[in-house]
Amino acid sequence: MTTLDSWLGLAVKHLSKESAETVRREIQEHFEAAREAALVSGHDPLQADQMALQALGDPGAANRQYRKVLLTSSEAKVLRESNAESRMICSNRWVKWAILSTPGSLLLLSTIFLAVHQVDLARGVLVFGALTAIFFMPPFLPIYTSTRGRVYRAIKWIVMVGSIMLLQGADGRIGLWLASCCLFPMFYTEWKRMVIRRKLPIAHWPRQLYL
Amino acid sequence: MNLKGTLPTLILEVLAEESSHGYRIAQKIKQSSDGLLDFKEGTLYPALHKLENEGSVESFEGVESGRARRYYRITSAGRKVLKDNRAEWQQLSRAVSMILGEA
Repeated sequence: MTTLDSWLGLAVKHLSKESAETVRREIQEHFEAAREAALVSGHDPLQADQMALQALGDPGAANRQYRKVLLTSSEAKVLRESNAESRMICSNRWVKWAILSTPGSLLLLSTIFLAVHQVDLARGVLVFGALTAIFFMPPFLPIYTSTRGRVYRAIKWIVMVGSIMLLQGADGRIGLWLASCCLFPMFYTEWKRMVIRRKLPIAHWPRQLYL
Repeated sequence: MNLKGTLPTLILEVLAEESSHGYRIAQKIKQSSDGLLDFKEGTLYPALHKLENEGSVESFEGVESGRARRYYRITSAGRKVLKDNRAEWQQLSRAVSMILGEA
C-alpha cells in the first residue's frame, strides 16, 4: 500500500532541495486537511488515509507538473554555480579594475595595429577585447531590469557570432560550427537560465538571471 | 470530466471570491460543479505555482484551526486574466453550442 512518504518521494523526484521542501510542506498540509475531513464524515483512520492519498492522484503526473513550474536539481545547480565567476571578479579590487580597463586598452591596441597595417593582429585583439567586455564587464553594469537584461543578451549573442565571423572571414560557417561544439557548456547554461527565467517570478530573480 | 487547460481559470474564479488555501480551493471547484469536475488534487499545486510565477496570484502564511497554512489570493493582474479567460470561454462555449444546435 502506498503511503504519503512514498507518494512524496515520487512527486519530488529530480526537484531541487528547496522545491522538494515546498512540495512536501504543501502536500502534507493538504493531506492532513483531507484526512481530517474524512474523519469528520465518519470514516475510520485507515480509510481516511487511503481516501486522502487517492484524492492526490498519480505522483508521477504530479511530478511532471511540478518539474514544469519548480526548479529541478540541475537548474538549481546552474543557478548556484553560474554566479561563481561574478563573485570572483567582484571580490578582488585589482581584478575588477584590470577587467574594466582591458577592453578599452585592447581597442586602443587594435587601432594601433591597424594603423601599422597589421590587420590580422588588429582583428584578433579587437575580438579578444569585445569578448572580454561582453563576458566580464556585466557584473559592473546596471543590468537589473528584464528589458536591460534582454538587450544585454541580444548584444552578447551578436558580439559572439560577430567575433567568430570576423575571425573566420569567409569560412564563418565552419567557425560557427566549431564554436558551437566548443561552447556547448555555455549553450547548456544559457538554455537552463532561459528555463529558470520562465519558472521564477521576476521579483525573485538573482542578478545572474538578467545576464 | 477532463479539466485540461481550465484548472487555472477555475482556481482564479474561486480566489476572486475570497483568499483560500489549496484544500479549500479543490473542494470548492468540486462542490460548485456538483462533483462533475473531478481532478487529482496533486496537480492543483503546480497550477497554483504557475499562477504565482505569472503574477496572477500571491501566497501568504495564514492560520486555520491553530495550524499554519499557505493561503493564496488573486492579484489585480490575475483579475484581468480571469476576465479575459471568462470572455474567451463564453465565446468558445457559444460557438460549440451553435454547432451542436443547442443555441
